Amino acid sequence: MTKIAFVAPFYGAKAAGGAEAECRNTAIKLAESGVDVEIWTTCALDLSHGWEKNYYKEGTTIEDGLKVHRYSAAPIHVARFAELNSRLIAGEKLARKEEEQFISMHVSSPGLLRGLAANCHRFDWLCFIPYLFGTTYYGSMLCPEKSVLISCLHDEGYARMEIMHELFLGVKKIVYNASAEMELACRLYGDCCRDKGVVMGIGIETEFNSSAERFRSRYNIKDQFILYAGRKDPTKNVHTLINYFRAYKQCRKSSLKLVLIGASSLPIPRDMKGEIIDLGFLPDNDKKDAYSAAKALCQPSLNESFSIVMMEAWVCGIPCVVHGGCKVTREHVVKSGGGLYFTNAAEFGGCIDFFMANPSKATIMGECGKRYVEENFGWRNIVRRYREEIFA
Amino acid sequence: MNNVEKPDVDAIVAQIKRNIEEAGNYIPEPSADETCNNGLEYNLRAANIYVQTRGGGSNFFVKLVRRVILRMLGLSMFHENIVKVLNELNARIKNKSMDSSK
Repeated sequence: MTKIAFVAPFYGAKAAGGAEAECRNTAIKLAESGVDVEIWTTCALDLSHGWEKNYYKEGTTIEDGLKVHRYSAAPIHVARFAELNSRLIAGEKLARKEEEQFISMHVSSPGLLRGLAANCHRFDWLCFIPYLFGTTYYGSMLCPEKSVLISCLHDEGYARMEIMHELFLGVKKIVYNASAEMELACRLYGDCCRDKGVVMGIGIETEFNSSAERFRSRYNIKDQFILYAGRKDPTKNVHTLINYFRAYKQCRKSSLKLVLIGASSLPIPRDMKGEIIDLGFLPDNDKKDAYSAAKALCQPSLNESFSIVMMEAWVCGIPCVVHGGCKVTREHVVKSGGGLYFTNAAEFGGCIDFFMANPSKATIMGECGKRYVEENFGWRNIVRRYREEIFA
Repeated sequence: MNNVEKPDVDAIVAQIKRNIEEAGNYIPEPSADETCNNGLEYNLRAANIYVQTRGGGSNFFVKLVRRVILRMLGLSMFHENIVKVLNELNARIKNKSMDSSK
């Protein structure tokens, strides 16, 4: 039986984030298909809660039917980390020593490395996810010939670090979530990223029940609305969506609302109270009900390596409108026929007008999106491809 | 559904752009002061990272003192310590595999 270790900075049902969900769901589905899977991770909950303190206890537990090994993350100097992090976000090139300092503080765990080194002979493959963390950078050095990087690469300052170049060159195989992500890796690190890469995507649950009526009555939302689902911080470009929606409302007499769901919060302009509704983090079932009730999902992020929420929205049959500056999400809508893209406020308004004026075409787009998800990212297909193209 | 023709998304977006041009860019781009983007500081706060060092400024003396303090705290040794652990582990793995091949 093939034996696999997934190595990730965070793991658990409560961990927020796309890579965290990808890791957990892929591990569970592979295990269900008969692959022997273990998880090697830290005691931290997730990125938004920090990793200075343990959320989970150290040790081995069984979660989701999988053996999960947890270790404390190395302590960090918050002020120094914040300084390096802010310079990277601003696109500044760090000195080599500074890059090393950054990655050693970005969820590294000597205990995890020791444990993995003592056990890596037991595994056929070690899957590291995502690219930007100490668990991945240092862990993949232990057994590069067995290392699979599930990169979740974004076009961002972090990706331009010299040490990331070494990571991508060092691993045996790379799994990408979209072809645009592979092209980015090739541009940054060279063509070898294509030679050892597989464009896989993320597995998506394609059969679930959702109810628009249930959402509308539970949250008392009667008007039609555009939905944003995900973390609400500027790295997701939500502020642009809010600004564009505000500009749209100032030019249109419309009862259309913008509903935001997901962790954290963002200041809403005073004149948009009641027009932009932030429901906060919703349980999974309510989130799916929200997709069904929405006119369309808007994904304004410029830095997506896949976008699970778009796939979930398509499964529920609604179209997506994305920022044209993000190659990955734009590729999804163009390939699938499942939505539209904008690059400024006027185009955003034009896309919304199109959906409002052409409900039957919007429905067709939602159906095309659903077909795209079922054909490419259904779990049966993803699990088969991992077994045949990565672990064979 | 299988009979439904896939919409040509690029063509629809091109048509939307043409409509906007003909109408004279009818939704204006929000100006910078209307934006609710709170910038880098908000971004770091959102990521649960407190901005404690910003404003340390370009002052050479402040930078020098900070560097000395960081060195005193052993911060610059973080990476070296982890690499040391890796080297020990790699050596142990290599020894083990050499032992088993004997």
